[in-house]
Amino acid sequence: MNEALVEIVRALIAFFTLLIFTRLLGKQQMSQLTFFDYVLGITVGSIAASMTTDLTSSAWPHWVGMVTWIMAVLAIQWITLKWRYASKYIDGEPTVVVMNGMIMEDAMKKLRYRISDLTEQLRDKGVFDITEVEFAVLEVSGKLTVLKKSPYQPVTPKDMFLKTSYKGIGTEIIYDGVVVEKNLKQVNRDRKWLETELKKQGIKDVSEVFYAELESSGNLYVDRYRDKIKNKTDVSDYDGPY
Amino acid sequence: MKRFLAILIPVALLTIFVLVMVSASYLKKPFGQDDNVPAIIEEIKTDVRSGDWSGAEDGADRLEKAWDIITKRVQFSAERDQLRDARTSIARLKGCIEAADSAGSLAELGEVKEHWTDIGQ
Repeated sequence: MNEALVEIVRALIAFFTLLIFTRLLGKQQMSQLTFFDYVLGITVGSIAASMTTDLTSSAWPHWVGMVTWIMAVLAIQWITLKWRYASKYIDGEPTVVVMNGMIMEDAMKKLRYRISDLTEQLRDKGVFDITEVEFAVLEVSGKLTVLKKSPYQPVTPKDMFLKTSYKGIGTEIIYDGVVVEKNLKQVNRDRKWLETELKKQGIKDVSEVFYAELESSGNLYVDRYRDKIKNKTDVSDYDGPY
Repeated sequence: MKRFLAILIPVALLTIFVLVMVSASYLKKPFGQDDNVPAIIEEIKTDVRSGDWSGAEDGADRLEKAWDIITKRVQFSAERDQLRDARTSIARLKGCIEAADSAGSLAELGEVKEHWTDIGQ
């Protein structure tokens, strides 16, 4: 038995199985993961690891275990998507821990959430004085969402009655010296327009461009491979090599 | 076409993985005469019972080779210890045959057969 070869094959099976199934699990971000999701991740990862290195048992039972866990997650996801009550029951609900500047001790006790946790998370949000807080909500993910009292909120252009221009999402036109034709068509522009715009910025060929994006204002942002910077800022303290 | 491939590739991969992992019960079966473990075991048993120790010795060598062939085929789907334990039993069997110990030989043959049966179960 060639142990290294067996481990390589098992590692590839575990790797691609995880890759395929995690794509199925959706796009929940790490920061949005609940404690249960976190535990699930560790468990599935641990099964994949033992499937790769534990040659004393065959790969099949590990694989079945791993897929069962992933399927259970998918089932829970489907149930919580279709049934709102189940979603609240399984994932929990956001809880108000500060209301109109008053701390909700009873709600905090139920969540086993300490005052030190609250003050720490408030500081993390830049709030050092609890009297500035109108509402604080402890989200299902454990993050604290804070609504400051109106005198402590930053001034917006609307407060100042200032006119602002529309700002949308930019569209990628060139990436790595290659024109993204689909995007160019989408913004109702053609190659001729692009060439004219590039010429305006002193660029003769698309291959000179690393990245170009059409901003919502109509401006074309262009970044070349050769950046014309005379005095580069170097944040490193040592010459290296590293 | 792209959508079809996007579904086909992961499904095909998962199918291949499952086939690799559950193939042991099929791959342990003989594809020829050199890897027919149950038949070789039966031949050795007959030799041991009739006291043909040189025939049994020859059979043990063939059993060892047959086990090596099977090990290469089932290594991705079988347990390592199962394959090793069977190899150890064959080594002990050789010792028993050398010592003309029929009880020990039959016991070791029984164990090798059990290991072979357990592969892929």
